[in-house]
Amino acid sequence: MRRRSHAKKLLVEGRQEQRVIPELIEANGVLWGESRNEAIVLIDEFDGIENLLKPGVIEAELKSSGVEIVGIIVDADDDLEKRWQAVRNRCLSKFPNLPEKWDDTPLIVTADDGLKLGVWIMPDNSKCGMLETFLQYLAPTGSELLVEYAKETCEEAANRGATYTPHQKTKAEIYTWLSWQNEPGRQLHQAVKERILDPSSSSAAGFVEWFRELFEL
Amino acid sequence: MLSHVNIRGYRGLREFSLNGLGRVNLLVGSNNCGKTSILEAIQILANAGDPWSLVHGVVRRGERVSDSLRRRNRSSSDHDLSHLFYGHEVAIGQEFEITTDKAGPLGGVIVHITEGSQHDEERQSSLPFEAGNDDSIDATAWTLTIDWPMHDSASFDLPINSYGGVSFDSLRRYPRSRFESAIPVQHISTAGLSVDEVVQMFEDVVLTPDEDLAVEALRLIEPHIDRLATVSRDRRTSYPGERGGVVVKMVDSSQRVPIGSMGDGMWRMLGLALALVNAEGGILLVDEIDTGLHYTVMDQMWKLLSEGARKLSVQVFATTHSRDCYESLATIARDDVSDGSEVTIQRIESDRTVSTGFTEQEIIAAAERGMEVR
Repeated sequence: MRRRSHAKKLLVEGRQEQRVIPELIEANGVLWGESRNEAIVLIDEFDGIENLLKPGVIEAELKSSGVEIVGIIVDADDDLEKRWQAVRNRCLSKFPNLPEKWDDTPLIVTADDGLKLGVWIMPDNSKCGMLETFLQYLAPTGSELLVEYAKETCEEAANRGATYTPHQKTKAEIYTWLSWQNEPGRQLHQAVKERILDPSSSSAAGFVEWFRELFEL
Repeated sequence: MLSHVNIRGYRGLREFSLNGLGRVNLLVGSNNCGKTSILEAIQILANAGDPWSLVHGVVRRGERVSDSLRRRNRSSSDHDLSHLFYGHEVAIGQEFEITTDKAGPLGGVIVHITEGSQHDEERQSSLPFEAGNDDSIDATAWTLTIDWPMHDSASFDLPINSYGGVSFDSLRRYPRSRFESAIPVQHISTAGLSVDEVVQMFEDVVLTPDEDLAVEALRLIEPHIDRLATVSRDRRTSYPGERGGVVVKMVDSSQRVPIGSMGDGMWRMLGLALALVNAEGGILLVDEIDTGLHYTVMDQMWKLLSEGARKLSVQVFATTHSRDCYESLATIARDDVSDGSEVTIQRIESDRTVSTGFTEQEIIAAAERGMEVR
């Protein structure tokens, strides 16, 4: 796993984020680049939040040679404040003045030596949830009834022996909804690319704006 | 152990600090960023300003006074000390300084240029040498003064001429035996150690427990080595880069093999091990530590070095360009059970005044993720 240094890096929890975000950004008018090497921003995924938050990992990324801008996207999951604390602790050595409390807006700060850091807590920096929660908001106008039905169905499925955990509920809901679309069963990033989910939705605007401002695009 | 080193005005380093140093410190950075200069600066400090250690780097880098300048001044000064100073200029008031967080002689040394000593009767020297009438120093002579401000000792003067030249003859009047290092220091340059150095150091430890470390080091490359010994050699023919003076016996053979027959890696490992034991209680400096070593050997080399350094209370500063080398440092970082960082990586960048230090956790993360630290 040898990587040349890249000036702009985005650190995400897993493969889903790694695939979805380029589609979302490109759908909003920013060319992403054809290959990994040409990508405007290099996205590294860590196969789970624990690996991303392991002591030393983010610190080393922030000290990596040639890096100028680092973005971090994490899920709030069940406790947004707690998640922020964990991320903050990893960034303190390089950014000692990070706010102790999260103020429900996405973060962009610059260190004395010019290194820029950005943090976005899914879904929208103010509530619990995850990437899939954020993507639920991108269901196109007109599909509200179907989204609601997907939620009800998942609820009922739980009563009938479905094995998804409470933590995974939002994932079950969105994949259920996707199974009813044309094409059925598209993956998340494909759904964004093919406009099954609406990347120009106002719910995505905040994220795109943060991304563009952080990475100067 | 030094935690912090600050260098001001030495060679290309206008102002540079290394902080959060550990027992084993690996310096990385692009070519010409000053890694070797940092090793030299630490050596100058540890040698308590011994003028010979000032000159070591000068000789190795071939910094000689040009022939035309020598002829014009009718002097025999041949080493050019001007390059020791930031800006390559020799002038009264020019100085460089190396300081650390320690007290006593290791606290700091400052080397500066003042008026010639023959003009200054009150200047004291800690040693009873007389600058006298040195034919090799011309009339506009200046003085290179070495001071260690935190040590209660008079400064030491070395006469130089106005373009920074000092003659070998002049230096020879200050025999090395007169200087007591603040602490032991061993420096292996990129070119490695000479046969004489290796033989000398081996003979210093032969039949002592430290000899085992040397053999252990070689066994990392060749597990069937039984014993080593030095042998006398023909001194008439010796040339740079030579290997010799040491023979090796394998476990399953009765033959003695010259160490040179066994590949450069062996020579480097032997030199490393011997320098380590000879630096007991002090500092080991190794430039381009990965030279001659295959990546498979690197993990164990670091293990041997770090265990030996801990046992013998040696602080190690090494440089490298190799990714294999810094990634294999993660092996000892993982095994380190003590508190705080025994192992650090320090990235040197010429447009910064502070090194970027990596702690053990960060070294492990960087190695696992293939991050670029250089």
